[in-house]
Amino acid sequence: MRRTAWVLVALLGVLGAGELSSRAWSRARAVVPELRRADLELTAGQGVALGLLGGFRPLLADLAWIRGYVLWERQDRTCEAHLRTACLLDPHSNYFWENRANIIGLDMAHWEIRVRGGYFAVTEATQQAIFERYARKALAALEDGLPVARNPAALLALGGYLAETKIKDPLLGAEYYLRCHRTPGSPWYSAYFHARLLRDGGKERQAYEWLRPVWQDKLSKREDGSPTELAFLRDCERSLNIPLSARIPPHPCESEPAR
Amino acid sequence: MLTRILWIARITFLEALRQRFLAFLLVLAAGFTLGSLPLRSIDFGHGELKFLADLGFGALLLFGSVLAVVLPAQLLYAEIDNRTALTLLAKPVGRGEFLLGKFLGTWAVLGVFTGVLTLLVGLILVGREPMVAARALSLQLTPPEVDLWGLCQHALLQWLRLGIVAALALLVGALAQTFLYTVVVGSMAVLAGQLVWIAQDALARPDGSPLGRAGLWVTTRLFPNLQGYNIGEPLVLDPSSVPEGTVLSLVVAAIAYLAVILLLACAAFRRREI
Repeated sequence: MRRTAWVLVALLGVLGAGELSSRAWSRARAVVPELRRADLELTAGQGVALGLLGGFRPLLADLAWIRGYVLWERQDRTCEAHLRTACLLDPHSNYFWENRANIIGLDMAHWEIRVRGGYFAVTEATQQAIFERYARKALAALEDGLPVARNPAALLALGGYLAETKIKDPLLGAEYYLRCHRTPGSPWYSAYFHARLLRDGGKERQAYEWLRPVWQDKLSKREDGSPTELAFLRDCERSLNIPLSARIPPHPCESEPAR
Repeated sequence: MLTRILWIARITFLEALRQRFLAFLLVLAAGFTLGSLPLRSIDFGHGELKFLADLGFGALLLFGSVLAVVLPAQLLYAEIDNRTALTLLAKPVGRGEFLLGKFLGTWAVLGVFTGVLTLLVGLILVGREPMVAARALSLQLTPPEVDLWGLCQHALLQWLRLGIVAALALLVGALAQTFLYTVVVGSMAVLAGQLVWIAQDALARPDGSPLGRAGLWVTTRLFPNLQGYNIGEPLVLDPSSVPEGTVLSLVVAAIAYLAVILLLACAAFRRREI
């Protein structure tokens, strides 16, 4: 009887302490770098176990990156596992996310084309399909980094670039630049690129109607008045036949008066 | 009773300080912490202070964990193997008092270990802060700041964490018959504690079968989540990102675990053959 009581007390104690520990973790979780189970399963094993134990993560991430870099120089696609490890161990580092996406989206397609016999042996359509496949993989990698990277705006800008140049989908690129523009720390060109790609995607009016208030409220107040964006808007005004009275009034940043 | 416990703790503390193992780990951890200075040249955009802090705290975590598992086991088995435990327990000293004294002595040594390494990390961070801040200002970036109060809070959390590890090692030692078994099982328990957050995160998701969720619930309640104590970098370099009450809740959870584990260890040691 007495022994049962002791066991019950011990069990209640352990469960109580466990409950307190769970509550403490729910608070601490916000500042512990996110590690996703799906990533753990796919990541190269080296260093991950130690990395999971906390501490040494930046150093292990660097070592994984260096190993991946060596494989990248040899044009070995297994470098991706090490690059993923680096991103997993230090998910706040933009350097890892951006360069991983660059390697996947820009380099790996060329490696595959060379393996298939080179640019003369592979038809242009197949080349484009390969570029698109790797670029989409790179975009998926960037999406993984968005919630955790220190500067997600830079990842979104890179996503826009890959969508435009490799997938050749201006509307997808426009979407990335729009998300970039709405993210704190976005580069100045994100608004212009969004509008330009919308126009390239056949949505010129939408591009004009979107960029005009952005230029008037924000970009025109920059020191140089953002003449590139204004020149784009003038182009749209001409091609959309916007009435003169509805056009943007002349601005000092224009080298020649608006016609 | 308290006098006897403190007396055993004092003897344990002095005995532990004489151990070469402690000196070896202390030098190794300090060397690793100082080694972060030249190593920062292979840093890929983490931010220098973050890199230095993470390496210093990593050394504290890794070598501290090794010390917290091995030291109490070594001190306990030395007493048992040399038969000094029998002499001690023949006097009016209870087995529980003996074990608690061992724990407090070990925990005090771990406090010294934590204090020395924290001081070293603090000196490195404070020493590098002006250079890093000047560089950040020249690039029109927000200069990082080292929060010394956050450093002290991190030291307290690590000391508590190492206390839990040492208490777990003593619990295993009270049940086991050999030093090696204690160290191996103690290390496994630490590993489980470091990885229990995976179960906690899985439990937080609404998916999964009721049986699986029940298993996760039991796992998260049985093992202390040691990963939660590794919040040194945000505490020191970005204290505003740490939700209010986090440190206090971790301290409360650690004290609860210490009390329960030590209670279990004392109960197990009472039945142990010496």
